[in-house]
Amino acid sequence: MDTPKKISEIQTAAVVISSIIGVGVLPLPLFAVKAGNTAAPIVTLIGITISLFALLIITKLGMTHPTKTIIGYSEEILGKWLARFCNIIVILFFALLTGLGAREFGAVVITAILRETPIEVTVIVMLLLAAITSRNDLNIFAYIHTFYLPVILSPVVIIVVLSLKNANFLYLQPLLGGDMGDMFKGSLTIAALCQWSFVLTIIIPSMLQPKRAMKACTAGLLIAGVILFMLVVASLAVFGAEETKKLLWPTLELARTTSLPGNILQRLDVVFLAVWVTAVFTTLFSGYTFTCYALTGIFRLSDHKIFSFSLLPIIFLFSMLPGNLLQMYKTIEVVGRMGLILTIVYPCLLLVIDVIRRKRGKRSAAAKT
Amino acid sequence: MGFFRKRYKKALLTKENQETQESVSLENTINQFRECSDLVHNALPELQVEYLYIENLVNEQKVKEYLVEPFDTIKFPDVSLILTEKRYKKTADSRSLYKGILNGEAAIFFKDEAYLVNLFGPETRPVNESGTETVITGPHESFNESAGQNISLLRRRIKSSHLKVYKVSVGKVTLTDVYLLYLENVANKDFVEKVKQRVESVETDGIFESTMLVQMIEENPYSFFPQFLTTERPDTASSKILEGKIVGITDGSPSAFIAPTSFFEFFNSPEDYYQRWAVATALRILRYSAFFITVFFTAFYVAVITFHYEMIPRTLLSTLLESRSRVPFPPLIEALVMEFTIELLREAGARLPTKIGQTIGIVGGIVIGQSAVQAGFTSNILIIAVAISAIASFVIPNYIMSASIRLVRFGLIILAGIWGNYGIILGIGLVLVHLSGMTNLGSSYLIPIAPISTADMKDILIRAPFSKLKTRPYQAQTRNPYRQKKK
Repeated sequence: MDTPKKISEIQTAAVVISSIIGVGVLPLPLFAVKAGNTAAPIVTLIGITISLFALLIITKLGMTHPTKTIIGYSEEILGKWLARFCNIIVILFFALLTGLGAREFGAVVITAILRETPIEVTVIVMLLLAAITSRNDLNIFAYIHTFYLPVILSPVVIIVVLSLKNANFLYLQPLLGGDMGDMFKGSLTIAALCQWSFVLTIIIPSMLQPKRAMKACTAGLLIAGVILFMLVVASLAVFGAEETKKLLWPTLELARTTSLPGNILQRLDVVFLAVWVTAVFTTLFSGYTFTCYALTGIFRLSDHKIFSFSLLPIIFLFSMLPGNLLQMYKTIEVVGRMGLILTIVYPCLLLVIDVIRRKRGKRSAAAKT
Repeated sequence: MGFFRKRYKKALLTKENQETQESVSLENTINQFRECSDLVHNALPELQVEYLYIENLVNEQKVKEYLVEPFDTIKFPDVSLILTEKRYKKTADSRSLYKGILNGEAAIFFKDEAYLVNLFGPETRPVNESGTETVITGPHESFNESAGQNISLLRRRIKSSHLKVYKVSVGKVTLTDVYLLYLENVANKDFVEKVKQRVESVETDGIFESTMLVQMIEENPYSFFPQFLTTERPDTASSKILEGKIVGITDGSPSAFIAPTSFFEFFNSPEDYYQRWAVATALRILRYSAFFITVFFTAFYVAVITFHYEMIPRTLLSTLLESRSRVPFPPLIEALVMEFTIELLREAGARLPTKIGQTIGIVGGIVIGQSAVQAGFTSNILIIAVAISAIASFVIPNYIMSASIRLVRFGLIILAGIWGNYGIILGIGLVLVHLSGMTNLGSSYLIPIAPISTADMKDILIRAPFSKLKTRPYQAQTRNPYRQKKK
């Protein structure tokens, strides 16, 4: 894992953004609206705040241990075996998340573009691409994310802007409403969509200046958050709460209702989907890379390449677990929310224990003198 | 198996190297060059001087000046006096003696000693206009096959003692001279060392072209894409030297290579700097769009016609369907056949003498273009797509890069035929991942996009006015990053 320390702040921000914007973009407005009706934008905001909080904790941990990944410092804080146990669960979770992400992607592709292709093929092809790519080092990981960033951001922005033509801002009112419990649950689901940014825990040690990680991460998450927020607002304003609930992938429908001025292309959704494939790829790539590197860290290996292909069958198996589309989304929601325990509570615990231990260390050092 | 073969090869090579180290003598030298009918052997018995040179490597004028005239007028005791002159180098090593003769020097034998004097001066081509990189404004000179002349073209442009010319001989048999030129006070030392070391460690029997050498020293020899820019233009080469890059000149090759290079440099033309900045920026944007058209247009056509009819504007759809209705093949086959035809035309045009070349234009334009549609072989919209992407591919200033891109395009067309837009994105993903993983002397190939370097974007993606171009490119990692004084 001796990658040269070269990743800049901009690249770190790019990794955060393109990891977050991914498979989840399509059903996001549906999740938000189901939870809060017209309060969907607020649900999204809460969700983003939660994930910002989680990201800040991870970054803080990474900055206090600038040479180690989460695998390294958790073993230092919790002790070897407990940390290993927790880390293996985290790795399993990310393998599952990557698998489910690939499955969700496959489901969209076979429904919207390639109706006759078996889902296994699309899933495997995507995973293969991620596996091949994950053989590169972290530096190149950051390059790829940076390179794809404009490709990921621009279509979402274009679609949001173009859809304003059909927007009816009355649909956004009332701003508050809906059941508090549901809203909270919904914002957890949205926070779960953002937990791909957990890949940061392995990026920070390879940064050029880990001290500046905080700024980079905050900027990255805020940009991604604004994009997600705009999407929810746009689909709510175009379709209204009741209509959105009936759509499986409101973002895709949003792309369908818009068209480029000048009648260059009749419909934008196919182009949007093609670009969305890129977004999915970067996201899955993040998950895959995290899994590979974390496993390498646990087994104290020097080369992560052996995992890039040996993980493939396991992740593929995970992706085939849900029986159908509805089951898949249920699984994703549940697994995502459970995952928050791993991506928020676990780092929180680590941080608290770390702070306490440091204080004690100082005190005992002071007592000795 | 490979191991044994390697070992065998190594044994052979060492055997070649161990050519018996003979003593320096006339007999041995003549024996070494036996059956070389171009070897001239002259004896001046009254002076006890004999000399040897290879007729076709020397300049008649120099022979007269250094060999005939000095020995013509003198008596025997003065010979040793003349031979102390600086241009006569005493040589005690037979191998360097032979090498000297092969490099166009004359070997003079006097008593038991041998001297070399340089008479090298074969016929060279005059400096002509470049055939592959033409410009409208700007200097029209281009490199030719003589390394000496090429270096003189560069020296005339950069009058600085910091410009170093480092010489390496490459090729066990050809002993081709490769010169590495760089500004000592600007170029990154590591890069210079890396290039020197790589050129020196090339193991082959011979090279004839810079583009050949480049493939032996680059980091990703299996890649589709060229990794070091090659140019035939002295103005391009000298501007790259000023940027702090290293320029390599191979004797016998009209192209110079430049290291390190980023992917985007292949899309720049020297004319960008001779035009006004706004025009040059527009041209660069045009070239990048040409790149996208070349890569995507036909693939996009195939994807849309096969899978995504709904993307076509309604008015266009009817004409398209009408023209497609008579075509019996699926769009993938149709596109591949047409692309293949265009490549045939291009290759034929490149190989044919110019006089017959026009025929190809007529055959290509009229017969294939119009008749193919009338015969119901292809749709005319596909012909437009293929033609536009072929034209766009020639907009890319570097021929080697444009050839690589045309090759990648075929892969994309096939992927588009299998999986539509999704296939195109997958293909592009693979290419991009490959490009991101590539390094150029250890620096990234995709600078200034990944990693982002805003200062470089001003001179690579657009061409800002000169007052804004104050820094040397980040990729060269120069020792002196400012070209103009910071205000």
